[in-house]
Amino acid sequence: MSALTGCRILVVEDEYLLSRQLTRALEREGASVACVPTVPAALASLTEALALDVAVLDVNLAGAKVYPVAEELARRNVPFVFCSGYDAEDRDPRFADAAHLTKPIAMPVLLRCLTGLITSGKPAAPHVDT
Amino acid sequence: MLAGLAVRSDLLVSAKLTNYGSGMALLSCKSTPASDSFDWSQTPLGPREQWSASLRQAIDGALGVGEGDAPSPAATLDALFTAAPLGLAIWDRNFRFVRVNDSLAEMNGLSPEEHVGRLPQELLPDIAELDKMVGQWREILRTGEPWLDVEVQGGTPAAPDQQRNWTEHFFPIRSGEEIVGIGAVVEETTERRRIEAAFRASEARFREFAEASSDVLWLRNTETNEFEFLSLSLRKLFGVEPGSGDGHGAAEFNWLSAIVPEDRDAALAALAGVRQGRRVTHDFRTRIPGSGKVRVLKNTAFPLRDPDGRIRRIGGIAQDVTEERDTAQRLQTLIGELQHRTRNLMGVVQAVADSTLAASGSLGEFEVAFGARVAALSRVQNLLSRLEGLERIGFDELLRTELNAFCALPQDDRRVSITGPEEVPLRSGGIQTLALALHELITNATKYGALSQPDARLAINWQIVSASADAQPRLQVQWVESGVAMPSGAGQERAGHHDAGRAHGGQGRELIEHAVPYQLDATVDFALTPDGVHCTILLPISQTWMAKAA
Repeated sequence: MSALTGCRILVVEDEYLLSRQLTRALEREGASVACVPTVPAALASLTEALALDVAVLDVNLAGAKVYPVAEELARRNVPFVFCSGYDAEDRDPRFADAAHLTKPIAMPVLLRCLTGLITSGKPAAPHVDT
Repeated sequence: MLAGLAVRSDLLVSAKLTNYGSGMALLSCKSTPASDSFDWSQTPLGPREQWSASLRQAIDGALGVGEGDAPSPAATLDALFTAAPLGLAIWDRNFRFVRVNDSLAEMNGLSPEEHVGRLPQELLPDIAELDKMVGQWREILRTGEPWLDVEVQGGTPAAPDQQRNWTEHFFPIRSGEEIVGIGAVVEETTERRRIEAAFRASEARFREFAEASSDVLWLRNTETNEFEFLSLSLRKLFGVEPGSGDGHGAAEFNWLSAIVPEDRDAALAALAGVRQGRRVTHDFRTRIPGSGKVRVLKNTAFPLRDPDGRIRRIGGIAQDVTEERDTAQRLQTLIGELQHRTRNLMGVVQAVADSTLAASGSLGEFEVAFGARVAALSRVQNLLSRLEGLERIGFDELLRTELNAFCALPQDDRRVSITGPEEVPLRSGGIQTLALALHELITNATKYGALSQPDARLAINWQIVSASADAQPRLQVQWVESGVAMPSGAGQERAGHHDAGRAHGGQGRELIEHAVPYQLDATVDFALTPDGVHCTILLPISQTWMAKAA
C-alpha cells in the first residue's frame, strides 16, 4: 500500500492534460485528488476543503503566479511542492525553502517527494531538481 | 678668445648692467654675497645645480665669491660669454656686431669672428622684420629702456631652409652715463614651439575624440575636486554649459547629486578606491534633469599620477549602458519564457503519450493517434512562435491551420463552410488545448462524420456574443455537421466510439468536453444528433483585444 493511500491532494495546474496525468497517477496510488486551473479556484477550494494532506502547485497559471495559494497553504501548515517550467532559483524568495520540481515531471520523483512531505513534512531527499 | 678682435675692453667691463629684467641679473648682483644664495632658476641661466663647471666658475668669479684669487672682471666676462648656454651678442651704436658667443654663432651658422663689424641685415637677411627690430634698437639707444621677450622668427645660414624661433632680450650697454651699445640674450625656442604645437594638436585631437565619443570622458583634480574635463555627451545630458576656463563650465558640476541616492555610497566608495591607486569599474544610475529619466552608466575610473607617483587626477570613461542592460534583461526574460514554454510542452507531449497509450488498443492505433496529436501541437507552436509582444492568435487563423492539415478548407473541400469575423484574439493560455480540441473534432468528422461522406455538410460559424450589457463578450463557435447518413448500426458504432471511450474517439471527446472548459474557462455543449455532431463552444477572448476594440 502506498503512503499516499487515502490522502487528499490538491493539484493546481492550468494545463488540462498535465492535471489529468497527475490525477490519474495519484489516484492509482489511492489518493483522492482535486484539480483546479486558477488561483481563485484554488483559494475557493481551500475555504471549503476538508483538511488537505499535500498540494502540487504549478507556478505559472496562464500568466498568474500561484504564490497566494502557497501563502494560504503555508498558513494552514499544508505541505506543498512547486512544479514549474521555470528554474528553481526564479521562484519567489519567500518560498526559497519550498520543494521544487522542474517540468516535465517524472512521476516516480513526484510520488517520492509527496510521500516525504506527508510523512515528515519535508520532501524526501534527493528531490529538488536544480 | 679676444685676440685679433677689435673689442674695447671698457665696453666689456662696463657691461655691468642694471635692470633689464631677469635675463642678465647676474651682472647687477654685486651686492649678492654668494651666487648660491640667489635663486638662479628664474633666470635664463637656470638653476645653479645645472650649470657647467666653467659657467659656475665664471659667475662666481664675476661675483667675487670664487675660491682662490678672483680673476679679473674682463676674464670673468670672457668665461661667461664662452660658457653661457644662451646666445649672447653685443652691438655698437651703429648696430654692428662687436661680439657674439659660440652659442649664438652656432645658431647663426657663422663663426664668432665672421660677425664682428657686420650689420645683422648683412649677415642674417632671412630674419623676419629685421628693419622693425633695428628701429626698436634705436629706441633703446634713445630711451635707455630694455626691450624684453621679443619673439623673433626666420632663417639663418646655419639652416637656410628652416624657419626657426627665438626669444630675445635687448638691453642698453652703458659706459658711465653714456649708452655705448646694445646687448642681447638669445634663446632658441624652435624645438619648444614645435613641441608645444604638437602638444596643442594632440590635445585638440584628444578633444575631438572625446567630443565625438558617445562615452563620457572626464578628468577630475584630486586636490580641488573640480572637473578639469567633462566631455560633450555628459554636458549635453546634464545641461552643463560650457563656461569660462578649460573645464567647459564643468568644474562645479555636482556629479554626486546627479546620481540616484541609492547608488551614491557605492560611487563614493569606487572613487575612494581610485584615490588609493586602484582602477575601478562600477555602475551607477543617474537621473537626467528635466525629463527625470534614469540612465545606467558604467564607469571605469583610474588614477593619473604625476612623475613623483602622486595621484593628482582621476580620469574616467563612463558609458551609457541603459539600452544594453534593458536588452539583456529582456533577453533573460525571453529565455526564461522560452524555457518555461518548452518544459511545459514536453510535459504536455508526455501527457498526450500517456493518455493516447491508455486509450489505444494496439501500437498501430497509438502510432496514428499520437502522431496526429503531436502534429497538431507542432502547428500551434508554429503559430505561437510567429507572434511578437502582445499579439494574439486569431480564432480564424487557428481554425484554418487545423482544417488545412486535413485538406478541409472550404476551397479544398466543398462540403465545408466557415463564417465569422477575422482576428478574434484568443487568450494565449490554453490555446494548445483548443487546437487539440479542434483537431479531435476534425479527426472525428473525417473518420465518422461529415467529412467521411460525400453529401454531408460541415458549417463552422463564430461570432462575438454578450450575455448581458455588463458581461464580458465571448466568442461563440458553432460546429454543425448535417446530412450525415447514419447507416443502421453505424450510428451506434460511432456513438460507441465517443461514449465508451474506445480508441481516440473517447479521448477526443474528453479533450472537447473536459479540457476546453477546464483550461479555457469555456462552456462546451457537445451533442451527437441523428444529422451529425453539433458542438457549441463559448469561450473568453483576449482582454487586450477588447481594450483595443473599446
